[in-house]
Amino acid sequence: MQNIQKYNKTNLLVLLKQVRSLCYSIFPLIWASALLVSIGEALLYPGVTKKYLLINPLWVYFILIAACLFSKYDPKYKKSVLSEKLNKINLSLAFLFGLLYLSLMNLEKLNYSNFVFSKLHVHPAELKWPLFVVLISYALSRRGFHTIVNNKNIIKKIRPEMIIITLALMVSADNLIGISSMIEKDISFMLSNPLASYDLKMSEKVTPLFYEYTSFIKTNVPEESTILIPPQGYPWPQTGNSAYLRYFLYPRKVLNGEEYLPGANYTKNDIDYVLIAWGETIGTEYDYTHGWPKFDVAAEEIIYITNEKDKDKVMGNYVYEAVKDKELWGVIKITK
Amino acid sequence: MRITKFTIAIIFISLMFLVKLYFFKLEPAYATSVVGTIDIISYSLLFMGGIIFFMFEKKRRIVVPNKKGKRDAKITIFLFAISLVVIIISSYVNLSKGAIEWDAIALYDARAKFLSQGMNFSEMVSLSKFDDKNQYYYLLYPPYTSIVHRFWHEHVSIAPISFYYSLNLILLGLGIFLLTKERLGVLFAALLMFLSIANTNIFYTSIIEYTNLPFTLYIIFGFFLILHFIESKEKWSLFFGTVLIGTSQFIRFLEPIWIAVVIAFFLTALVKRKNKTISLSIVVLFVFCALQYYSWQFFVGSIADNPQIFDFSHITIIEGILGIFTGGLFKVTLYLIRSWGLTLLVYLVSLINIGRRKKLADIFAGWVIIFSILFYWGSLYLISLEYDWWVEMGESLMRSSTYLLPISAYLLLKNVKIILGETRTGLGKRKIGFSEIIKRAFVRS
Repeated sequence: MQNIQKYNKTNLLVLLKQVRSLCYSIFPLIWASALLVSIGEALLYPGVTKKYLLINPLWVYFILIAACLFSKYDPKYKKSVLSEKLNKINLSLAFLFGLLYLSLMNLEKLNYSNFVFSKLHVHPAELKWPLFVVLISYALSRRGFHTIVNNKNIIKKIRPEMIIITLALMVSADNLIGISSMIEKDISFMLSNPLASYDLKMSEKVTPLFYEYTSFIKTNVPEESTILIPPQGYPWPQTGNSAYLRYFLYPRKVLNGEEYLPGANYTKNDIDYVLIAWGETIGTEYDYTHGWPKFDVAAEEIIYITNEKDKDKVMGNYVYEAVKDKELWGVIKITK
Repeated sequence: MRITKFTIAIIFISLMFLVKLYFFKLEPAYATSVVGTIDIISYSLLFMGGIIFFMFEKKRRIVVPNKKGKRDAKITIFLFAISLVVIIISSYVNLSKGAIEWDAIALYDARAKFLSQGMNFSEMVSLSKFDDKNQYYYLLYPPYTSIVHRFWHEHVSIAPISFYYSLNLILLGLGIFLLTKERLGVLFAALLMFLSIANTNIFYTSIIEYTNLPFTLYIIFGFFLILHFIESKEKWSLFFGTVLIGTSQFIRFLEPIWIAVVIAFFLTALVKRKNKTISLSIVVLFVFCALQYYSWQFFVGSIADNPQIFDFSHITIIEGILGIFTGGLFKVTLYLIRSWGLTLLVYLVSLINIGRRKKLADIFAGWVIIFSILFYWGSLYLISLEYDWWVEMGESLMRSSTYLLPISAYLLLKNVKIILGETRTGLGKRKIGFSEIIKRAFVRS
């Protein structure tokens, strides 16, 4: 039994050595393939490898990592000139791809989505994969980061100060560009409206439509009221979000209804008002459609937002079929 | 330097103490409970203990290696200047914008509004009583941010609440510089300060009125104080660091970063486990942090009776194991890599050579990064098993993990100092300034 176990263990070791040797022999081919795949995805389009070669590129990178790990333990690897040359190539390519990636991503941020692809036919976000390939190949090789620290000849040749300083400058530039694109929209409003009032600023932030609507509700609905609001979801991301809406209407209570039904008992929940909300956004979700409420409401009066003074208050019930597909905003006072 | 560190810590510990006292005043049921009593007593003990140790403990001298070359004032001044530009931009945006962001409207500032109108936290649960989707909402986050908002609105009329976050950014930058100056040197500490506050994600948290920046601040300062304790054995820094890490849960509760810090400290301290001070310090850190965790859980569950957002059971664990074989774990890993992007690379690169480091402080920092990444990975994976909206957490993930960047950058810069230290040795015994190194780096000899 012990002999059988020894035999199996020896066989396994032999097999592993053979795999290791194979990985070492064909490592440059695997490395080159992984690099070509990653560059192809960036220059052509993401998914080109899967379409024409029926291989997910992630498997190629996975094979590269496995090959790196196996081949570096091969005894021929340590003395190999090829592995040393490959490491230098990887380091140089890392610098190049890193610079390209950061520069093109920032160029995209400064202009618009797809700008770089439209001008240079390069997908900047996909450049992270060639960068990943060269970095992982370098990092997993025996001559990794600590070689720079320990070998003064390498320090003098590859000038780590240059790499570090350049990286620091690139990261700084990337951050500063990221900050500028982040605040661009806010800054342009602030510079154009230096003396803007709180109302104007809030209106700009939450959209004029929504802010005007909440001001309308505050004017027409007493503070001690309970209001039935649309269900939460597009096209009512703000008017249907009870927590969000409560900020503007507190101490009024708000309660979510359903699309085709009140979803709450008017008497039991002491509901006084129901919103009329077309929807703040064009997009919808959960199969919702514009216009709410989509059910009839027995009303004491209905107050609409309209430019026509004598048509803003209507007596009588709210009948959905009569106002269907009309872009209306207002509030219904329920008959008690 | 010691006094500066102490002053920074005292400011934040005092602020948190005042916020907690106000919370106690609002919630007498919690304040008079056993948990509440232990909470405030433990806080006071660590607070007073830190002050006493600072006053009477013998100062330990830290030997800082690689302190070669003259300080390059011009580059340091330049770094301060561009950091100032970043702060001015943040301040201008916050002073001018007036309006606040979505979550601040829906939660943090809304709660401040309710507080000023006489409602307390345990009563806020009733506001979302009929909200099937978000019943847990009003106590999802601890009270710190809303209490600060409330007092700012009432007592600081000259600037909007947004400006408070610019102040946080200034304090973060200054604090990072002052807390790392001793170990990194003035130039690298200034570089770390700039890289931290100018980082896009950290800067973004300074122009939104959320919990992220104050949370990052408490975690970072607590981390560096514990680091100082590991190197100097000065107990006041352990006590204050413990308070800052533990009470960060009063700002954000969903991310258990304190667990990463406790485990990291435990593993680091194992190296010197026969030392009584170190062994006791693990107990102090763990007990206080666990108390803070349990205190808020107790309030939310027992006093306010608020439903939980996440409901994990033993079935989640079984699903988690099965998910490894069905590709669920791989999907989450890929999502995490995409969300963090290059920042993940920075975190991982900072861990290069961590196994060869001899300094306990560096090992501690490395463990904090490793366990933080593991926690985010594990938590996201568990959430992905139960909730289909987990993919929307990318932005939140970026914001809540910003504390990792200064820690990783600190480790990286320490590595760079080692490289440059050897380079200077290689170039000769003459002391060389940083400008000379830059010149030589780009000009072939």
